Amino acid sequence: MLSKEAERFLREFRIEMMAHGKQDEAIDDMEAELEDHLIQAEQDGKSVDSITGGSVKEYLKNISGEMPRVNNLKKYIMLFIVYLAGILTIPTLIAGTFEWSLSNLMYYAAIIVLGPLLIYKVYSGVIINHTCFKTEKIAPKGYVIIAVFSVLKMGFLIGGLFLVRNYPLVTFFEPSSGVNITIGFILLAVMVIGPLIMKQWFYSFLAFALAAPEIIAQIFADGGPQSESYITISAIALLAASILIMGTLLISSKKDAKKAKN
Amino acid sequence: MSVSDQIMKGLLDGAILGLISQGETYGYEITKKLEDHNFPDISEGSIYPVLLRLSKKGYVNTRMVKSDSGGPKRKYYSISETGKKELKVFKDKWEKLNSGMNSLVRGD
Repeated sequence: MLSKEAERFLREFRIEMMAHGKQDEAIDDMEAELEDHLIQAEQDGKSVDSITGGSVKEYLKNISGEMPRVNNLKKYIMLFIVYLAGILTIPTLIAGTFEWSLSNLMYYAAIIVLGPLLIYKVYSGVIINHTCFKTEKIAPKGYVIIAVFSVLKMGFLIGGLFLVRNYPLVTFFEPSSGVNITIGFILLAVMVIGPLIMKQWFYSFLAFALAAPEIIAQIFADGGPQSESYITISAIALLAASILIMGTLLISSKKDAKKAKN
Repeated sequence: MSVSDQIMKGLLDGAILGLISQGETYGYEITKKLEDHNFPDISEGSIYPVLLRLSKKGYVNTRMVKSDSGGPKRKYYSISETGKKELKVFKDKWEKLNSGMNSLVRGD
């Protein structure tokens, strides 16, 4: 039985190694090795400091330097940024309402750059401090933090959109909705076909599922993106797409867990 | 990193390879053996970056063994042929260095 401090150290180790792009198998092996060591060390009356030498951060830095990285990590980060930019902008492009203004582009750049950083900080904090090591269950306090963060995030996203619409700063050009829709469909084709070529079918499905509500609304709604029927159809389709995405993620994580057990 | 820290780091690689050459072993056992041999000034965790390095260079072979009591898997280390050659080189160098340093420090 490990102490809380030892469990916290092991969670911090996993999160840090994942964030530094270390290979999953190497992380699993080293985590097992450290856990095995800590169990015996604590039985002998030693603390986590006996492993880290007093500084968890310094120790993780040392061990990280020797652990193998995922190949082509920089390429994957670049692809991820491009993909994120794509799936965020495609729905509004297909709706024909994308604004080519400085504030709107800054808004998306902030979401793409700051979004993943903030999500990493909050979720890694919850996993390290408020999750059970063995069962991987999040404690109630962790759920409260995630809920507060989600509300704040939504607030910033909606508030940001309000600011962007009222303060465009500089408008680069104002294409017709037809041009926006065409750009949207070209980007969608890239985001669907690209991951398929790389055999990452989920990312292909995700890009399509997020754009599908706008496509369905464009086909079936009576009016434009501001009309009641367009908003209703796209909202229902988005809800259905979200359920599909969550369901797919759930099934695939259960499959992964089953594979890891075997 | 101070000069003495750098020396310790280099020596630890050789010391651990030497311990592994005595028979298949695992992380915690290595730290115990280092303690028994009065190897100075290391935190127990500092053996793991060394073990990763030795493994990466192909000096040691590893195997993971499932625990019977439901605990974590244990990683066992054994010396490889390349490791044996490297250990020989290390021992030769250490003997020369040791004698040279003793001569210098003691002013023989």
